Amino acid sequence: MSVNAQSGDWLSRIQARLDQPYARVLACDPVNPSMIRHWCEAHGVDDPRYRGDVGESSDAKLLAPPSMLQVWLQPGPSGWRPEGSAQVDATEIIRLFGEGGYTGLVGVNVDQEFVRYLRPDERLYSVSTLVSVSDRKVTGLGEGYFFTVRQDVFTQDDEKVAVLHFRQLCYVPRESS
Amino acid sequence: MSSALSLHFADICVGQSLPALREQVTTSSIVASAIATRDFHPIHHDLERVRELGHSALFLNIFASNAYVERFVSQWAGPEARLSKSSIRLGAPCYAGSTLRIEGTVSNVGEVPVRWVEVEIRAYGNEAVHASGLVRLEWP
Repeated sequence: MSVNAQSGDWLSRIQARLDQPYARVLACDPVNPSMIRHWCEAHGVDDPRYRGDVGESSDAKLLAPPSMLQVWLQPGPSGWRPEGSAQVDATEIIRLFGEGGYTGLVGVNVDQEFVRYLRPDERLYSVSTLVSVSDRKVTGLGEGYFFTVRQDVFTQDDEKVAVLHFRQLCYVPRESS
Repeated sequence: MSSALSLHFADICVGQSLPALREQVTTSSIVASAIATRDFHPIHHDLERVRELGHSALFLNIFASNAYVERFVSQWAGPEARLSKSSIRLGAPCYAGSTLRIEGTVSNVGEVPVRWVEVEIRAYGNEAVHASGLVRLEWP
């Protein structure tokens, strides 16, 4: 397997991104009851917090499931992002590995820390940073690189509400080796 | 879910097992999850593309796995407990047609600075380990 073993320009471009935060990506929608309900329905979740009926008054009691964190920040099928949002974030790294022939992608670890639960109408933004890239490794899937992206998530008032670390592997699929 | 019944923190001890979660994973449930989590990658809805990539069936996306893990611990802990941290290692894909089964054991309990519990979880798609790791819950 000798896909760009000389490691070309794409690898130096990846390494140049280390510890350089990308510009903020804005959530397409504010935290809202409809998307929360759709998520609960899809996963069989029946939790009074996500229906807003915890406590005596149901108004303003609704919370968003912490596991929806990334849902708020996903682009839609068209890739649309709101005005003022960066169009490029650390997912760019996957494209750069692809340029080097490392077109296979698999998630390895996801670590999430939630500072607090979110409420309707909060509007999130995230800042992603490439925090580590391994040396080239031989894995069960093929030869590849492990890399970790940190995502810091804030509300519109710059309050940090969550931190996520996602470790992935980009590898050369066997068919093309 | 027995949401009206909140678990008593004092009754939790290390080594305690949580009631297992079992969910039939189907093409429809995978697509419903993918839409609800806004994950439009073709491997979660396009069978032709999935086969080109060497898989036999659609598989669950990571956001859905997170959702089921949250449901698993929250059903046990009740609505007083807050999910504060999770650290998950991803394993084999959970394919349409398999049963997702999540098991967990209390691995640590503490009361400083707030009351907290760590649960070691293991999720299987049929018999293959789909995800494993640690989830932390906190009580106010």
